[in-house]
Amino acid sequence: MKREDFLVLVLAVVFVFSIIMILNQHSMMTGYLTTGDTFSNVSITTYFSIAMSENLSDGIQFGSISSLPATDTNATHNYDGANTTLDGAGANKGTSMWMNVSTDSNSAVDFCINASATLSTTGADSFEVGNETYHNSTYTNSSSPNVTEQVALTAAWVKSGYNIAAGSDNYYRFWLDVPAAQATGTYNNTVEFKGVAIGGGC
Amino acid sequence: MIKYKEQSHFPHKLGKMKKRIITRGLVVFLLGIMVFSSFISAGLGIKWSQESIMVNEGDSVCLNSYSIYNPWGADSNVIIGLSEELQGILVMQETTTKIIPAFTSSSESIPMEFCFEVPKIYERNHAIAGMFIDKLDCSEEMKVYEGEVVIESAPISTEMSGIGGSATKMSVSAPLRVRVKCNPYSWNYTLAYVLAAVLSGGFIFMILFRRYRKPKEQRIKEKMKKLKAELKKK
Repeated sequence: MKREDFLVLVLAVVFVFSIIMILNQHSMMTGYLTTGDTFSNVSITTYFSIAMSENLSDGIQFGSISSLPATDTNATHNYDGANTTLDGAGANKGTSMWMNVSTDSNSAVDFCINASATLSTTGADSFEVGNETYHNSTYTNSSSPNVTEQVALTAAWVKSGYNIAAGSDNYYRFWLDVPAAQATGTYNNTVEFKGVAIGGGC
Repeated sequence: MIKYKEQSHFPHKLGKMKKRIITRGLVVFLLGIMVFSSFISAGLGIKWSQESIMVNEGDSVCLNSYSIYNPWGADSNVIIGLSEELQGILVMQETTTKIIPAFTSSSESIPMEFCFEVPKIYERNHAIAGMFIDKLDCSEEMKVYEGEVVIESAPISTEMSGIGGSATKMSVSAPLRVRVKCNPYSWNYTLAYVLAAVLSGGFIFMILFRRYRKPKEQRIKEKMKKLKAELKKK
């Protein structure tokens, strides 16, 4: 037998062996799976829907400030809404900024809030997001939501309303502190509201 | 006669009163809905029937257990997405914008489909031959990715005056848990065998091609020539 023929024979054996082993490898892999875990999923349908009051969807506006520093400047819609509780002389001094949970929901809702960025002008002047504060309540009148319980907005999501039932509202008021040395300008950012099923994370 | 008249008038009056009360009630109810809905902006809703999914590495999976709805009185323009925690493994995820028509109740919710490909995430043992031979023993804990399906209202541009303020945006989210199953296998020589098959096949082809590329007559002539040369030498 010539040397070249011998080489062809050896290579042919390697080729056939490789093909057999490729096929065999697959059956070996299937055979290796002798144990496995079984997981069970519980399928429960959950649904909820939320909406913003018209004045809240128009944005949280603070109007004009002419003297600095300014502390606890009211948002323009903090006190122009109807009360949900009797309030004597303070009637119609509720907030007109709220989040509503639709009656077409089968889960109560927790609300989360965050501010996307610092309040800044187009000219890159800015001030800390924590200067904008809020308080939330499930009812509204002249003293609720209450300025004394205000919480600073943060860039991280935090819960701002728990267990708001279908057909109910979560009311908000906002305030703004402007430092004395703040440059003149119109400052903007975005405040986000998120609805999650009761007990869910933000 | 008088008695008869009285009896016939009274139920008639009562019926009219009832009608009036019902009509007034209806008007108040409709006005209430109109006034209330005018104070509410477009809304959004989410519905889901499954929040965890088990997938294999490398699988292409489509998930359609989430749907969106809008029971409110105005159309909603929404952006559908997944939270950051899931974006690392759900490669084919697309962010889509959709309009949900007004008065779409939860029973008529519009299904959303997420299609994605799960990359290989479990660490494999490699032999000396490097990437061609590997083994997966699944000694690591099962990898679980927890995140959210997020439906976000498209941003509304708001004109701010004075000191300014904050534009507002809303979203709803539902949890999504992706469990990636680890399927163990012993040393996998498949790639090495494929390589050996390709190389040996290639060499065989080269040798045979070189041998048989010339016509038979020419090959015989060359062979004869060679034999003659050998005989002369002897």
